[in-house]
Amino acid sequence: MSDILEQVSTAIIEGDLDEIVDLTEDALDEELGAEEILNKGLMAGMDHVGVEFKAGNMFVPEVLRSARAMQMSMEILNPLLAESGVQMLGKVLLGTVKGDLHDIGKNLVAMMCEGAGFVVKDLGKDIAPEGFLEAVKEHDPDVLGMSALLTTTMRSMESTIKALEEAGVRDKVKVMIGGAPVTQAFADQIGADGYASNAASAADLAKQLVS
Amino acid sequence: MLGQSDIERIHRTSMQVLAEIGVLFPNQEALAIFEKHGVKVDGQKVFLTEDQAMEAIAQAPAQFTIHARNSERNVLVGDGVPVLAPGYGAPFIVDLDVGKRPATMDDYHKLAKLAHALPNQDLSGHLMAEPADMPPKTVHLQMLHANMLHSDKPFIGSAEGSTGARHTMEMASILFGEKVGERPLTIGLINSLSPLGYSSEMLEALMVYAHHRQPVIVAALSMAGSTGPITLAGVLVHQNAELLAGITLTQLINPGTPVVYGSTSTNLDMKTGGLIIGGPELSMMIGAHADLCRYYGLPSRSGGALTDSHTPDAQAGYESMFSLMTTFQSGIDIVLQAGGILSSYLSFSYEKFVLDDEICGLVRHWLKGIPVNEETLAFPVIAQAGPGGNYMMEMHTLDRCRTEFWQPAVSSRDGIESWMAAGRPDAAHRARQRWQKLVAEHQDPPLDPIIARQLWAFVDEQ
Repeated sequence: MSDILEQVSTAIIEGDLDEIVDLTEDALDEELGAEEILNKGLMAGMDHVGVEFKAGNMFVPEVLRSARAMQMSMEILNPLLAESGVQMLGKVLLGTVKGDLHDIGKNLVAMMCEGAGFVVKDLGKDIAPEGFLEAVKEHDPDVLGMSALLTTTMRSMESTIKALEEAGVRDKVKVMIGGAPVTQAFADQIGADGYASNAASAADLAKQLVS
Repeated sequence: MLGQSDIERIHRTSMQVLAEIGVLFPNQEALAIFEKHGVKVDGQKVFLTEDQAMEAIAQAPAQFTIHARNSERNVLVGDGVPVLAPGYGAPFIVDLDVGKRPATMDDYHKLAKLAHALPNQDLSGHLMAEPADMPPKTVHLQMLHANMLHSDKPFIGSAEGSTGARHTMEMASILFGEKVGERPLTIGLINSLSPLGYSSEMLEALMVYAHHRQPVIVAALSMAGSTGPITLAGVLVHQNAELLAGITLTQLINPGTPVVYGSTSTNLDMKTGGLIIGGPELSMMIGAHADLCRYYGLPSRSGGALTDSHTPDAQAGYESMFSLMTTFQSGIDIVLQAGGILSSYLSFSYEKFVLDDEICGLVRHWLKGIPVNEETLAFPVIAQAGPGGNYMMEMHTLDRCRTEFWQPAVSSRDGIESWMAAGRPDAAHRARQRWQKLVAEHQDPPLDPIIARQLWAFVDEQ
């Protein structure tokens, strides 16, 4: 592997936000293709992060910083990937529901989905049903993922699904949900397409939903 | 836990947060109340000066009594002797046979009966486990009703927005046969939304309670490293600012409304991102919180029998014992979550409820200390028995043999042979036998049939 890809991969693993943009541009200057940088630089780094996280050797703040580094690099690569017609697995739109500021799990899902080859649009936290609806219309995702930590806020997932139905866009997107108080039974009850109990299985579920 | 100069530094820094960073109150009515009292409001953010906050909280009483429908069960909050209440807010039950499962209304009735029967629970509770088989919009009515019917201990009210709070006031009015507002008939739990904010729903409930002059616990559960700074001192600063802002609102609405300063803030596990309530950080926070309450002259709520374990095992036992001892020793005034909690608040366990109540009794007895007086010094009986004597049959012993020592209800004290013969039951299985017996033997305490009918009618109407 070329030195520069090795450096990109290391910057991802170390979550080096100061260097990742320059390194991505250096790699492009060296005439490497966006797809190659993605696969052999970014993904190679994220694979390592995923393994180390599972083994308990990397801590959540470190993992999220790696994911942030990947996003910064992807902002440069995304237009180039689109130009060259590289097919990503799909687009995942994520958010923590209204009234809920607990987004660690959702952030880990974003990281895992990116690692799995999805384009991820993260809306953040405290997202009202209308916010999700607008974003679905604007970004046209394949999968919408919602998270909640509180029993009081998880009901907002149902309102979001209703809002999608009323706007006539429910059929265009698969909905997956998760969070500590959420269950498969709750997902069935509110008409979600899937439930995942942790970040890794959420990425697997997203893959299933788009296949 | 904290020295005087540490407390003052935390206070000063939180005053800076209140004045410069502000606290979010996403509710027009609440914002209007702040503005009416000359508090600076910018958008949904409220900026309090130190004088405004301190003047408001000085009006909150240091002590108050929550009345029960059986006055023998009234509780005094604020004298440093913990008032204990069951777990609150668990969505799941952990069952010894199947593990995690959703809670049902049938569970809730059983738990309400158990809360009545267990000797160390002072309040009958609310939302012990959230029934998943009931319509979410009205389930608070069923829970309030269950606690009122199955127990004559003081009940905890609902904070399900203004509707839940109003229903609580109306049902309390029926139960006590009086207009709500004269004296505390319940208590509600208002949670902040850390960092530095509240949800509109909680503010609605807070305002209903304050308008009716009913006590509220304003409490934070900030998580060090995500919804709060990773340093515990930083968590104390921001939660202090957000809680004092909420408490100020109660006093602006109705000066003298009883309000409890609450916190169960703790850390996250940095490897998984999960909430941790079984570690030493939680207990440090309980102690620090009690110190801050004394500094502000407010009654405190914190602690409980808390654990991250998913089953009533050794981890659940040592973690719960640790947090309960810290809670008692810190002089916390009101303790929600004193029984039943597993899985970092996610689950409730019948067996754990029974075991925690046992720990509560043990710790309560320990804190009574050793009374030293003429009678307990026992000189005459020491003289009577003399060197080499035995005290077993002395009247000094006989008179006290049923009362002097704490008696466990679950702990194994029989010999090992009888334990073997009984099939080697562990604590969890002995606890199961106890709760099943208590629930089977339960009888609702007597209630005036007219009141009972009115309650049924009210719940049915909604």
